[in-house]
Amino acid sequence: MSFLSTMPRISSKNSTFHRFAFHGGSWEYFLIWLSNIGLTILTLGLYSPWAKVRREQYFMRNTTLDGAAFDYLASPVKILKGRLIALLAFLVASVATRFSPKFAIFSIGILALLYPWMIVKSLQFRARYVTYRNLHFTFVGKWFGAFMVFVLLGLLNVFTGTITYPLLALQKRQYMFNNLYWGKTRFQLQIGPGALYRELFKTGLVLMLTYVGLYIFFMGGGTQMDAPLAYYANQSNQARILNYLKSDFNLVALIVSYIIGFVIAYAYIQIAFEDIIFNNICLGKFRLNYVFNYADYLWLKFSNFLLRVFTFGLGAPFAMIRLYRFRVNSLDIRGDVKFEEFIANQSQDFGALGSELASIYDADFDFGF
Amino acid sequence: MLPSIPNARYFDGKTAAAQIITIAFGLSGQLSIDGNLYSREDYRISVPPGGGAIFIYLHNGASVEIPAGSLSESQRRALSGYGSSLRKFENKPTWILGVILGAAATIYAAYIWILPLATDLIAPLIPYKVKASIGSQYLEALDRLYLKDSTLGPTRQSQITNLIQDFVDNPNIRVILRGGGALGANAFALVPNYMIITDELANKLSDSELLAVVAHEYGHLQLNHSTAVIVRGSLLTVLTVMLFGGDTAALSALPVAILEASYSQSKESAADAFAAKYLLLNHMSPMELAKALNRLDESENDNELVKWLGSHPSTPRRIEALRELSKPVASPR
Repeated sequence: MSFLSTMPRISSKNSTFHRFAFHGGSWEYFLIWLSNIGLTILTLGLYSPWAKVRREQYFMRNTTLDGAAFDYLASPVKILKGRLIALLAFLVASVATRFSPKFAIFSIGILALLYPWMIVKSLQFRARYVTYRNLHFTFVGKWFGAFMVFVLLGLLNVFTGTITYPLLALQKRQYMFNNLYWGKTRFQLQIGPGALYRELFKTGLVLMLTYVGLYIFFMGGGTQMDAPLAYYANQSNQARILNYLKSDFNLVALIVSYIIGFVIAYAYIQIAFEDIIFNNICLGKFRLNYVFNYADYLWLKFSNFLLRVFTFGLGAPFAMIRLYRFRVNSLDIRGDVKFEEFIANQSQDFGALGSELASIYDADFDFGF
Repeated sequence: MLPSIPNARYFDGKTAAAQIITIAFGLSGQLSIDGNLYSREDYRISVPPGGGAIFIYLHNGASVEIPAGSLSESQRRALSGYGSSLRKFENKPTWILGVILGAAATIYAAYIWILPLATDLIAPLIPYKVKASIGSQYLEALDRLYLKDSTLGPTRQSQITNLIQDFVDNPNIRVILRGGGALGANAFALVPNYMIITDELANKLSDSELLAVVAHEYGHLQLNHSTAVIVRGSLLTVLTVMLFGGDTAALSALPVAILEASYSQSKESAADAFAAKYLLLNHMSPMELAKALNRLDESENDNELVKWLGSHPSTPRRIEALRELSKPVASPR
């Protein structure tokens, strides 16, 4: 059970619940990751679509819900085609920018229009090729919706700072889930931003009080730096230098603890939003249930960061597995419905191009599970 | 061969309902699902890397799942035989080590040989029109961001311009005088034929020292350095995306910037060598350039010039090299 969370939990009475589980292992994935990197470099990048499919398959095939595994069906050749076209577009853009500084401004405008399209395509592609119980997912979101959320609201957020941040975080997830189907059944995320704002407000308040407390702790008794010259005048030279250094040290300590406080608050907000959003997602009569200990999750994120930094990136696969396993183990679905009642949708084939453009510009998506 | 597998699941693709079934493989590759036979052409097996669930896709859109952990490693390998041949070596640890070593060799080869080779091939192909457009755009940007109008009097301006024009003796070269602004005493060569000299530089140096700096910049232009730098930068970007997109992104922190600094320094040394030859050709000593470098070095060490020098070899090293070059071994005449 998480602390500080205001969301009501649905009772498990009269409803069956189905667990998610992950059967993979860190070392096993490490070797796959290593050979993916090696072969990708050895083939000057041509192998990267196969590497992607291997990675996705490793995670999907080892993830089960109610004992049945997920599957990833995308064909590497299709991804390669998309990736080559994306590479060409990237090449043209980057060369043009280098040869003509004016083009840089122009290309930002193009990107703002292209970005929503890449998001739509990448969500479509991924949904299309993930299956569970032989029913695939379908994403039906349109360019306009993505433009409103990811470009307009995103830009607004830049100018308003934290004020629109909860709204943006929620709208992104709503765009992703309210347009997502499993078979013929739609996902639903129907909450207002109120709960998110409450979390933000509470966290902000705690952070402010902590900042005041830290200030008094480090700078208590007034800062020597602002002290009148007379304060130093009747001290020996040595004492004067020591005092000055001490106040300097305190100032540095204060700034460092402010930064640490901010990072913790930021991570906490991320986790709290994830908690609220994933506990309000429904699929027909099923409802997601995401239960974890906040302190454990914070520690996981922090230790993963250390793991990546101190291994110069070699720890990345271990960090990925730890995070993935934590999320999967925290998740179950419950509701008065049987899997047999879910039926398939007519399929449609989507290209890999948008998805690959998106990942080249580092905008690939993660569904959170 | 494989024993029968009793705990597989069958999904018909129409609903999410699962049927627990028993499957078995015949000697000629037929698949039996609860006694119903499918020939080798009617199904495809997909064994994932690691120990995850195995899927069999049937021609009628149905699929069969063999749950993770229900087969031994050797049984999985036997089933992989039906999969792609690439898979066989993808999963062997000894191969992985070889692949990693090969990858390191590939990066080295790409950077040391392929990149310079491709640059030398492509750079001469850039048409003059394109170069002219690049040059005027960069000049515009420099003017907007850093440079000011020259504050030298018209007589002094034409005196400097004539001095340089006589020296390079090339009607294509356009001498441009500007106030240095934040860049201070400086000189730039821009494609295709611009040579920018700041007031501060002209005021600080004697005429012969100024001409030595001009010879250096003229070297950059004659040796097509700017074009090479632009082409190489574009190629490097593409190469980086190809090699370090996706899974390999974790490795992209490679010290490319440091490597590129040495490339820039090699171009500076080449321009110095060109200048030395050109000065000797004009009966001047290459040590004029050394004197100019010394003067610039001592007076403006603490501002923008320091950054500018970052792309250049250290001044003592350049002066040492110039001293070597000024020895009249085989005077070009």
